Amino acid sequence: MKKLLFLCICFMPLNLLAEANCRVEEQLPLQLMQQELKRNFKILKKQKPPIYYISYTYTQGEDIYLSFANGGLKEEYKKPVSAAEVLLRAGSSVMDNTRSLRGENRRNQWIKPEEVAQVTPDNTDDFLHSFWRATQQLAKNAQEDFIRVKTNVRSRAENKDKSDDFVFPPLSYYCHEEPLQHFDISKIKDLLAAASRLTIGEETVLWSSFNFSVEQGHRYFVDSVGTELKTPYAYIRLTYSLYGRGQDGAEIERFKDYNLISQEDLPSLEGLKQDIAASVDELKSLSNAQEGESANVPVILKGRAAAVFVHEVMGHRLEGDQLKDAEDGQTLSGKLGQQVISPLITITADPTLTEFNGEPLRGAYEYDDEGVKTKPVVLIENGVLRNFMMRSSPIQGFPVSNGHGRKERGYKPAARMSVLKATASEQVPYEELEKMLLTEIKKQNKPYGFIVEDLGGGFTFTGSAMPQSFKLETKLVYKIFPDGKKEVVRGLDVIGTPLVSFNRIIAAGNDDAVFNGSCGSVSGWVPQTNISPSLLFENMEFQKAQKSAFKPPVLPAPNFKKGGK
Amino acid sequence: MKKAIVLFFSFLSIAVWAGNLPEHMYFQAMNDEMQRTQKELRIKGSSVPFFTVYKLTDVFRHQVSSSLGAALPEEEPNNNLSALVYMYTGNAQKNSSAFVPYSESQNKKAEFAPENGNYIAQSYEGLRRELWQLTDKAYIFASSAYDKKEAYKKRKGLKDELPDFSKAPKAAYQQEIPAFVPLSSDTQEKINEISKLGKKLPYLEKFIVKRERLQNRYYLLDSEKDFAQYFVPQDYVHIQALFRGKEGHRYSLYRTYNLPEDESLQQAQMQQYAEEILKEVQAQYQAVKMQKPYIGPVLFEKKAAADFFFFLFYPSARYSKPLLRGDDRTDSDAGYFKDRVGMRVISPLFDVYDKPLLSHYQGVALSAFMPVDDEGVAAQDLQLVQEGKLIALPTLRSPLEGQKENNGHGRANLISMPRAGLTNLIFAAKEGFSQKQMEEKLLQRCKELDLEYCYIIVSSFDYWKGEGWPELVERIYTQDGRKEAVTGLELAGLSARSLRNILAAGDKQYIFGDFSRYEAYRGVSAVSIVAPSVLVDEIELVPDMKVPDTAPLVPIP
Repeated sequence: MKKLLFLCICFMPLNLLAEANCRVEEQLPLQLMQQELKRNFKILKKQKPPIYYISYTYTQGEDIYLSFANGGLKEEYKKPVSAAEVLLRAGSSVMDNTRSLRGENRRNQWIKPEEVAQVTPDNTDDFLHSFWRATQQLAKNAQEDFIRVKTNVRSRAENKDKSDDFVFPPLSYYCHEEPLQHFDISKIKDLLAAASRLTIGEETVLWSSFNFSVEQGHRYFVDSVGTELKTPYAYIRLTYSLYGRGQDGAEIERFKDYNLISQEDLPSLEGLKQDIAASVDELKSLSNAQEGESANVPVILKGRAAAVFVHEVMGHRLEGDQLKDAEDGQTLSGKLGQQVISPLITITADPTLTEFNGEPLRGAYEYDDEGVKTKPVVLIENGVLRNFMMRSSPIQGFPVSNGHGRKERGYKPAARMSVLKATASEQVPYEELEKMLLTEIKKQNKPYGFIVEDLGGGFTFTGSAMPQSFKLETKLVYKIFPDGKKEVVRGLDVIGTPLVSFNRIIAAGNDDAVFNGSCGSVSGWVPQTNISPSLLFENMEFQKAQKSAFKPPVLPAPNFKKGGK
Repeated sequence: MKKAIVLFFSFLSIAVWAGNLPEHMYFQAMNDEMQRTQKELRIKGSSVPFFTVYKLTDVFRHQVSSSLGAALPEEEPNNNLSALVYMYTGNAQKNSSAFVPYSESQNKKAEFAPENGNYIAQSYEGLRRELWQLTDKAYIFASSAYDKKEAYKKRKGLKDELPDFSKAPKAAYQQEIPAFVPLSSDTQEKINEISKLGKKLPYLEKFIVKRERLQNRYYLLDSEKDFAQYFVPQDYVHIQALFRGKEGHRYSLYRTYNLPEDESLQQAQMQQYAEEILKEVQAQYQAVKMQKPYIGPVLFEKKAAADFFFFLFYPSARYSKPLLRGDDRTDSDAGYFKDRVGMRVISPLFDVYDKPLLSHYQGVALSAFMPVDDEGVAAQDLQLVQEGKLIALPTLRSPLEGQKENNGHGRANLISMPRAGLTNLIFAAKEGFSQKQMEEKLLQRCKELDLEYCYIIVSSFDYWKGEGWPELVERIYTQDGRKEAVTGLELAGLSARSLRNILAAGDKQYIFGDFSRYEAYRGVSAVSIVAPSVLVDEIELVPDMKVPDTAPLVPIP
């Protein structure tokens, strides 16, 4: 079955002090959750089949969102977040209800577990009832699923990987709280209103949006092992997006994000003016640019674009869950200790890394969504495969979690990326990298190469039913000629396959860049960070991108400079 | 026998039928873009804009919730400005209206939907730019529809018997809109008191009471310079009870009630509604499973009666003019009554009115108040049915054969450009009976039919294509009038024909204004129903196929 993994751009993180500063036994939600979990587990573990593991999560916090365009407020909300979630397993850790079914439709891959929104521990009865209701409902579903699994195992071909379905997370107690930040909303509104007015007269900008978002609060986690955790989260972000459309229907876009630790880090209006002017100029260049042609040429992926590339093309294949299922493509299966990509490159996953060059990293966290403490993991060392990002679902040779069980609220955890960092054993200044690109173009006798400044969304197939290929949408690409002349082109997608592409990396810059975003996959949207230097590829394939059938509007934009008409 | 007296209160707050466009930034932006559109928006070789409508809806909302006596996390009041834009190209005789162009669905929007924008920037420039782009899309759609409509008519040899568009007297309505007042600070405490009532029933897993206050502000301008500015306030209480019946069925009873605007009456009203629901819960908890099918008289009480009219009468009486479809399919949404003027369509006990000008009924704000319709025509109150006979249908700018006058019932929503719609439907019975008398009449009919028992649909039901799923049903025994709650059944074979089988009506009018909730997925604009309970002959009930779950493995905390 095919799996689509999307990378998209969104929000941002926090001030993780990473030290305990409160006591778990004084946290009312933890006490109530543990009380109800114990009461349920005592009975459910004796059922046939038994419920052998339960975890409860409660998230309490707030979401703030402001959106402006053309000097006016579009949307504003401040919502409390107060949600209870239950996960449980039936059978035993050797084989349980979560195992994929061979030759049958997978169940529950995209189905949310019971989520009970709007509960609060201040309302004790309602709080306990919510967890109880969810537990009863899920326990019966899990028992039924387990019977399906047993039947499937008896009647279908064996999985090559004989690993257990679950490894119990180690017992942890940890309490870390951060006060919720206060924001001067009226000041932020003034900033967004002023910034959003800057594009009013711009013909190229068909649509714009200037947004400020905050997600902050705490997660409480208890499980039947006895773990009790309270950890903070805070993603604060200002972004803007500018969209236009070429005469041929091509949609063009510029986006910028500012990831903040607190309101004090907001950019000034002057700073925003400069950035917006640059983005508008880029949009104009794109609007007037020639449409690119299919090509297989040398290319530089600049820092942020390279970070997206590493995430999309290799990162997903280093998630442990991608090797668990017989229906997965398992690109890196059986390659431990082998050279799988260019020896220049080392890739690590490090959720403990909270900032890089002063920028907060959205993909950082202290404990994963299965209650496992995080640690840095070297995944590929000088091109040699060393490890995978693991959660509490073992694969052959990797029996324990390294704290990468992650999920969006309401989904089941999967092994997902955190802060994914690509480094190169040899780095050159970026100017040098461009010179190397020109040399490569000439050496291969190509008419031009590409410099990809920005990549947008994309997808990669990881299921065995589809080719192990990827497609990434470019947002800003320069065609560079052998004499060094550059021109903007648009309407191109980068395509290829992972092992071939990653072996074509021949040099890297010393300009590490951060891409903070959110990735949508089997366990929903999770905050992530990708860091990479600019990468020079011997060659890479580009194809024409899909275009909209619509032209820009018939009439020009209203001209407010001429008396408001 | 006493006659039921129906009182209509029609007070339109402070409103004037004014001549000048209101001095509001929204109107300034709409007017400026409208003028530019009518004058300059052209594609060479395409039909030109003939009639354009802008309708803005500015919704303010605040809600506060409580469960089992304690507050649930509260969201701050919020606001959303949205826009509908639609256009006809061509001229009065021939234009793009009332035609569904084949293949437009490839544009990823509903086939007959207007252009719409959500969360529009609330600045002159933001609104102008949004209207500019929506108008452009509306023009592309309309000019393409015009060409395809003409080609279709030529292929089918259709003649223009009637013009596509009728002029109407200028409509200019301006209502003063008060500031939105969020729910007061003591609301939380008040609904805590109400939700605490749920603690009386130990098997109740959740008992959520949510107070919701809405103010929908409407601003409409068309290219004929018709305009309207008006608002609809809405005060609701939503009550949800989650529990498991004795037989293991899971129930989620969800009710929405309109509250009177007079705040001093609201608490007592909410308490009454909560107690009614708790009674239903108790009955449902004890309910027995229906075992065999039933055909006979059924009493539809309160909301069940409103649902009966909403699902059977409402879709039959609206959309009086079928759309032409370029794909040769018939317009399945067109009203069943479209060609039945002069025929009996409902029991002769009833007169039926549609009253868009009615803003309140017995102190409750009606959700479908609409002084000017969505084609910029002054709306008219209308008698649809007299003594069971259909005497008129709602109409709009596109004239109807046999009823050419426009009565201002053009209604648009997110998935449909204007069609002849309905607003505040009033079902007035000539003769009304108390609840006790209604039950006696039911039993009397049961005896006549030699039935051991009959049924009462106590609460609301959902409906789709002839089948209905009631939440609470009571069986009443002919011999002694004993009642028992019954679960696990469905209404079968319902149709507009059932409207003619109404035997009697209650003497109390109930108001239900929450039918706008269907807008999102069934294309229904806001509708209020004012109706009494009704006794209907020959209704079919059948056991459903649902199998109850086993009891919870762990007892409730």
